[in-house]
Amino acid sequence: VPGYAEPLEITVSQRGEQTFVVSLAGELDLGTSPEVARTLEGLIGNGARRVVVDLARLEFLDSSGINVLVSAARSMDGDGGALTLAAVQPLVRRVLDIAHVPEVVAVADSVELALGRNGGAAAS
Amino acid sequence: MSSAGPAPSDRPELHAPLLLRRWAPVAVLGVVLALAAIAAAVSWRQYDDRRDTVLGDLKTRVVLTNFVFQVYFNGAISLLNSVAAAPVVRSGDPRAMSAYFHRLQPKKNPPFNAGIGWIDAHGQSQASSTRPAGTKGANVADRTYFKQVMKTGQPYVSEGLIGRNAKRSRLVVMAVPTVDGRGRRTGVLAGAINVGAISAAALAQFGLAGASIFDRSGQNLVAGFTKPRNIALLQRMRKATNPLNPGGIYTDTRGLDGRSGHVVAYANTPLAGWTLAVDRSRSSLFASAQRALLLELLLIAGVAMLVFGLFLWSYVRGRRDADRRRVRELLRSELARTLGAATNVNEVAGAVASALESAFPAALGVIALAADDDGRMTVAARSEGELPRRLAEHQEVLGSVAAVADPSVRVAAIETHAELRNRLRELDAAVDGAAGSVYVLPLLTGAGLQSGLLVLLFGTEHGLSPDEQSLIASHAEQSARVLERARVQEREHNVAITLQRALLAQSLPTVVSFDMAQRYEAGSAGLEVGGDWYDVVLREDGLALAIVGDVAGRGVTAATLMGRLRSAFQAYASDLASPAEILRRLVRHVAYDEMATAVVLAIDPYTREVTYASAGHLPPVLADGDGGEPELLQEAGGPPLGALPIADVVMREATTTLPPRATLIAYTDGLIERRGESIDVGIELVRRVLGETTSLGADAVAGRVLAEAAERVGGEDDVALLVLRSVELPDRMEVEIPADPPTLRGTRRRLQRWLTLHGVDEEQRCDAVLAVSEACNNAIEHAYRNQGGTIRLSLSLEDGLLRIHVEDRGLWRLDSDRGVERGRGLPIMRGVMDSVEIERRSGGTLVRFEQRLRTAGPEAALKPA
Repeated sequence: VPGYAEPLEITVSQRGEQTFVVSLAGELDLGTSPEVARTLEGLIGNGARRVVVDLARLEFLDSSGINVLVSAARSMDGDGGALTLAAVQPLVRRVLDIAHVPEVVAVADSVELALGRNGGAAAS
Repeated sequence: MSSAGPAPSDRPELHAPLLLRRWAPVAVLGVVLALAAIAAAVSWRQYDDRRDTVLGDLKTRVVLTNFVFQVYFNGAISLLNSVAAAPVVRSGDPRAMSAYFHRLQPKKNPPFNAGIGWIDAHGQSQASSTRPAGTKGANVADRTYFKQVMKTGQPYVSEGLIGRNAKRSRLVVMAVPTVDGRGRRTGVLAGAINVGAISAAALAQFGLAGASIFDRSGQNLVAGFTKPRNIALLQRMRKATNPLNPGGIYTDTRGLDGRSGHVVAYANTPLAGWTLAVDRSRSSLFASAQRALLLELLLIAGVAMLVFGLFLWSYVRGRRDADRRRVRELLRSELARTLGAATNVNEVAGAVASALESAFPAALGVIALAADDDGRMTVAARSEGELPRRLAEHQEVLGSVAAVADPSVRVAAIETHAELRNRLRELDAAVDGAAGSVYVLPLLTGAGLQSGLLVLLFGTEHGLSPDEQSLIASHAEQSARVLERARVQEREHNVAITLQRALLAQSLPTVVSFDMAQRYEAGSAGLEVGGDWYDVVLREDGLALAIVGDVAGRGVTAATLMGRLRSAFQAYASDLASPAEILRRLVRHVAYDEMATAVVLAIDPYTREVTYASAGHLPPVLADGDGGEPELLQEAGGPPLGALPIADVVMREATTTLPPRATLIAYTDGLIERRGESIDVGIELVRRVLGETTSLGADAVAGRVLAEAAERVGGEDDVALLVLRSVELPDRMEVEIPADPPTLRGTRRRLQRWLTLHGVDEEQRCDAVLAVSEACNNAIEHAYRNQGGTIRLSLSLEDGLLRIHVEDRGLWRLDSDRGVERGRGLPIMRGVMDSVEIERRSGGTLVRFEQRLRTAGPEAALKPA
């Protein structure tokens, strides 16, 4: 019951002609993942080539969130673009690791690193 | 029991009649005295008149009698003259005259009863009717009458003489001259009368017995020829004579005997030289008039006294009656006042008992019985004292007395009623002996049923005057009416209370790790129920939703709104609404002219968090178990329900954490509000009591708070009270949550906190929460296919092992069309949990997790904030 603040805050900022940073603050779960999916699909549909998802303020991530991130990464991959997860906090990182996400989606330590590296191929 | 009447001087309109009443006897006395004085004056006038009448009568009689004398003398002289003119007398022959005289004298009542005779010019009596013819009598030449007649030739009446005969009779001689043929004076013809006889007879005949007749020499012919001592008076009387008015009267003079204070009436007869005189003392003369006057005055005085006495009697009686009426009116209005203030049967009984006590100070006491709904009489009020106390112990017998008491006899004396007396004898022998007179009065309802009984006890024999009887009867009547009304109201009140209690949750749901107690106390003031209520709803998700509210006003309207709000609350609370949302929705149920305050608390036993919102209600108090300063939950809320239209209502809520062994109390204003005092004082009292009762259970705390508050505020108003005391953190967490993605976040939070309180480290907490979340995702997506439903979560901590069950009632199916991305849930669960078992059954799916915990026990975790 307590804490009915916005469960997930999604902030999109454009960093280049086709480069966007999507910041997620809060919890990415079954309830909030559809909105994130719509946001990412919107960016991709509008021709985004590089998307960095900033997870610095993400507190919770579950399989439904992972599904959204992975399918967006795959979709961009297929189009020659790239999606990078940046600034992952330890608890969220643990979930990503358990689900073997870093094997399919690039993960950067920070948004700036991700943007810098995005010039080249996806890391790891 | 005592009564104080209103001071009569407070009412100025009473003053004028009071003054009139006070001076009435004086005024009436004045009037009576004036009338008596007038009557006395009239009486005096009459007395005066009567005296005048007496005097006039006396004078008249004297004059009349005197007139008779005159006529008599004139007649007698004429008779003598006619005899003198007879030829025989003119002849001068004594013999012939003597014979003639004899012939003239009748045998009976002769005019000259002492004889008639002729005296010659020498004074020699020549002939007499008393002597034989030819004999000569005495020579009377020396007698005055002879000398006068011879000298003047005129008739003459002598003074009283003493006869020469043997009897020496009292005589008066009338004499006329005789002449011969040539007109020469030849002698004197004399006729003698015996005055003794004629005077007494004449005076008696005219009612003048005792009068005096004085002859020309002043001798009293009636009284032995004596002369009066007061000769001067006689002379004065004679001088006063004039021919036309021969008499007169002296009304206040010295009498003939010389004594003063006499009335003397007189008349003169010049022919005979007589004076007739009546001499009476005034006192004897006026005796009858005086007697009459005295009688009249006595009569007047008597009548005046009688009239005044009658007035005074009726006045005093009237005053006494008025006083009695006023006292009775005072008693009645006093009774009416106390009856008016009485709100239940016992107070009515007390009022009438006390009224009878003050009306009968001599009475030993009063016992008032009232019939209950089954018609059984019980003592509702009684006087202090040994006898009333002992008698009251026998209320069944008194009740049976009531049963036999004749309703048509308004006041029955027990001693005059055989049946009643026998019943009374059944009582204590001492009671029977100590009571002198015992009266019973049935109190009758309008329908003629006995609703009660008054027993009036006297220590001695005491008869009741009609006045007292009617006073008692009117008291009984007055109180019977009020008693009936009070009984009806009491019954209604009881019904209302029963309804109120039925509406209120009698037993609260069990909330894990909380000890709860509730109270509803109907206020003593007024008979109508109030709109106070409390309620607790235990939700599927494990939260307890509590409300304490108070509808403004009393009676059916308030109770109705209370019922509406209560039902609505239960609905909204089950709907998983938050406290602020619940209150906001409740606004819709309050009409524009209604108002209510309420506080809603959502208590989470697993997180020890309380979220609350108050709609203008008094703040709940939260006390920790360590004697810290209690906290007022007054940070969040909004306006009272009904104060603003729903569109304008902003309702906020706040969350606070319950410390271990915390006590939370929510209440209505009846608990703490006292006129003329800030509610802070009352709140302070609640805080103090909570601080003092940290070792007691919730029920004991509720009792203490109520008792102390009632002592302070008097318990007049209704009170609803809810006390929650946290006991210990549960080792099991059992909640049912909706299969609704947005709510998962809250559930995760609660799990996190419960695990934190149990000292589970952050990583394992997150793992558990993640596992549960994944299991829930599966239930929502695969079992319920996003169609909604409920998921049951069950977590238990035992010996360092965390067991989690996630159970749904859906139909599991794996969607093949959703692609490979959907298969990550199970690996994650397996990745974070030691053991994952999924049991798919026809009725749903049960996911079992197990996790061995690294840190032990909750104790360590409870300390850090």
